[in-house]
Amino acid sequence: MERTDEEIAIACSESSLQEFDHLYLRYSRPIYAFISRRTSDRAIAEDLTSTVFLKALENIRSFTPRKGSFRTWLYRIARNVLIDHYRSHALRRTEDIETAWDLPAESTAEEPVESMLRDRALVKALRALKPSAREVVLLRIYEDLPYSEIAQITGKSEGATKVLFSRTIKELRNVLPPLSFLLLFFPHFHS
Amino acid sequence: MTRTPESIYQELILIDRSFRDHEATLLPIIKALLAQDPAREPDEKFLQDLRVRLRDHAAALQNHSSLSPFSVMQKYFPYLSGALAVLVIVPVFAFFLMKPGTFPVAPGEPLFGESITSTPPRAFGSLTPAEVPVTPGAEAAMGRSQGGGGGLGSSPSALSVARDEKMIMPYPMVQFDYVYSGEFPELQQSVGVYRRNPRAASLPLSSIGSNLNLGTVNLESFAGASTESITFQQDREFGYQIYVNLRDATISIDAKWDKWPISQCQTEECYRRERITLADIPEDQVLIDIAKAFAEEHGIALSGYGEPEVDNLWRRDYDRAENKEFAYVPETQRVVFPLLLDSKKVTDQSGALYGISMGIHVKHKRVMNVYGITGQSYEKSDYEGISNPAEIQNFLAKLDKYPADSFPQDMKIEKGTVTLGTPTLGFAVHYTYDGMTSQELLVPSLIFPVEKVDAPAEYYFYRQSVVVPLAKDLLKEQNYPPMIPYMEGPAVRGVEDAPVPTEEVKPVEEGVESDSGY
Repeated sequence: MERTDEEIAIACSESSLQEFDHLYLRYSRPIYAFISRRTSDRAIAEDLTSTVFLKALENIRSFTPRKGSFRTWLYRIARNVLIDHYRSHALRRTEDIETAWDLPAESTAEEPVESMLRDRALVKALRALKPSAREVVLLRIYEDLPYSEIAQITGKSEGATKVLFSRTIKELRNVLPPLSFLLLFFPHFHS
Repeated sequence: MTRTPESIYQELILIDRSFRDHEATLLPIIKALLAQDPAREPDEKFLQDLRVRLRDHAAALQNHSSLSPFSVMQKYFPYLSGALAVLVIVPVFAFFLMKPGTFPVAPGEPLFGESITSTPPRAFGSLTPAEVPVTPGAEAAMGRSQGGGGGLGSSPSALSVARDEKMIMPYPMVQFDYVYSGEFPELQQSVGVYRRNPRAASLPLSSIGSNLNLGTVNLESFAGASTESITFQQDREFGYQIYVNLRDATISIDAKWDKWPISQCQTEECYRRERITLADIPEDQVLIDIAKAFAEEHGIALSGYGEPEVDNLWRRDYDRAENKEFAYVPETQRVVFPLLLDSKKVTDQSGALYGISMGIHVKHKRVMNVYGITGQSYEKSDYEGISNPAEIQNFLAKLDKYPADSFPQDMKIEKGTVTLGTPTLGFAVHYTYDGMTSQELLVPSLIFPVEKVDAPAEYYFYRQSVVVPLAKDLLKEQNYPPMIPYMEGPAVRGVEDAPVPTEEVKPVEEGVESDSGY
């Protein structure tokens, strides 16, 4: 039976730090994705991903399962690393921690015009959201985290997180009539 | 968890039943969001390299902890625990210092020395940090120049980030004019830049003990081996772990987490009941007294530091929060003893105090961690200074200025004015890194306090001061304003600010309560 993250983390503390390798294999890609969504540059994403795992490794002995899951703990480190990055580079950077929608989605198969119209409408709507609302959407939609963990990562209550997510989606629905209109002309986008 | 448009739609219905009526419009939006994922695939070589690096680092950390004197003693003398541990720390340390021939510091002298050594002009090379290597394909999204003092190069690459129509700007865009109309202090043709020079001390293994044959391995067989770091642990209630890095001449102290009482909350209700509120925060003087008492109790040398100050930056966010129930109140308050160099305060590049920082747990009224205890040995080298106030005014005039074509054409750019107060002379910490080694540099700077901000109502101006380096190397032109995350202005669309209708909130997974214990 596969060990849980928390069991491996405890093994890091009590046995060998080399056990951390198992956690790295599980989370290197999700954490890189988390960071790359919030930075516009590959080199910076790699640098920050390295920092996250080095910090996690150095502090794994302070991880306490009673306080939350390993995944939550790791994402909090990643979030803090991003915040530190933006604060320390505040005078140098123009990036947006919330999203760096500077690269096109690679897997879209729509026609260019359709894709462009959809992208613009969505991005414009997302741009208008409050950062904390956008963050919850990103954590739920892209990071696929449960509300309890999003709540811990963002420091909100679970109930507030759920409501914020639903309201944000509702808000997007309200401000995206062009998208609905677009769907009339590109019905296969529905499927 | 599985993440499909349908599953997300279903959970939305569980939160708010009214979503049932909007499947036709909601599902495409969710699908579009999923399809818009801006994440990139990682480079496989990067992942593999990092894996190797982590393995090496794990091995190094493992060695540090297993070689720590206390852990060695614990292995052979398991009764050395509990309250005795605190008694062991100081004598062991004294033993290192006093053992003749094993440590370059004379008995009774501080481990990390205090000295200033003069070096030839420009001895530390260019003060401008080296350019970060750019991976292929990433260039278009990166500002190339990383000049100190906050300068960002005006490369076309940098511009392309802001111009990209898919980039989401988090706040209304405001162009600020920084205005200072007062006198300048006397400026010098040449300024002394300091480089912290950790005395790379190391302890021969023999100083740890006379019998280092551990049974499974004989450490004595590693001729010439030495210890670069030491970890001490206090195995008792409210104990600490102390990490001494001899190579970098730094010491940090942290709560030993398993010895500090932590919240046992398993439910949201409990979490809410136990969370820190504004009323729990002690007066600044109480926090300072706790910090000073801790320093005195543990012999933390404060002779090179100024009067401590409480970091109350979080209060700005709290004051701005419309819903105080969810506003962040940190359970650890930070007291900073500012480092003094040449009797002047040292700050970071944002103007925040730099020095020994103590985190005090609000509920326990105890110091929880201490960072920034460092050696005070410096090398000093002269660099060309800014002697003409016009150069500083020119720097301020360009501070946070966007080129006109940086943003989508439909983006509204508003104007604001920041009035600066009389500057003080101080030092700001800069780091340079050449790919192999890093340097911590303390650069003479003018620190202007922000006195007044005229900005659009919805804009949150985050700066408290403006730091202008007085070394010519670092006075690069500034083109772009920073975008600080998570310091939000009032919502452009008030999704979060409306009251939370608790009756709507239903657990997505039946019977599963929040286990938030943070």
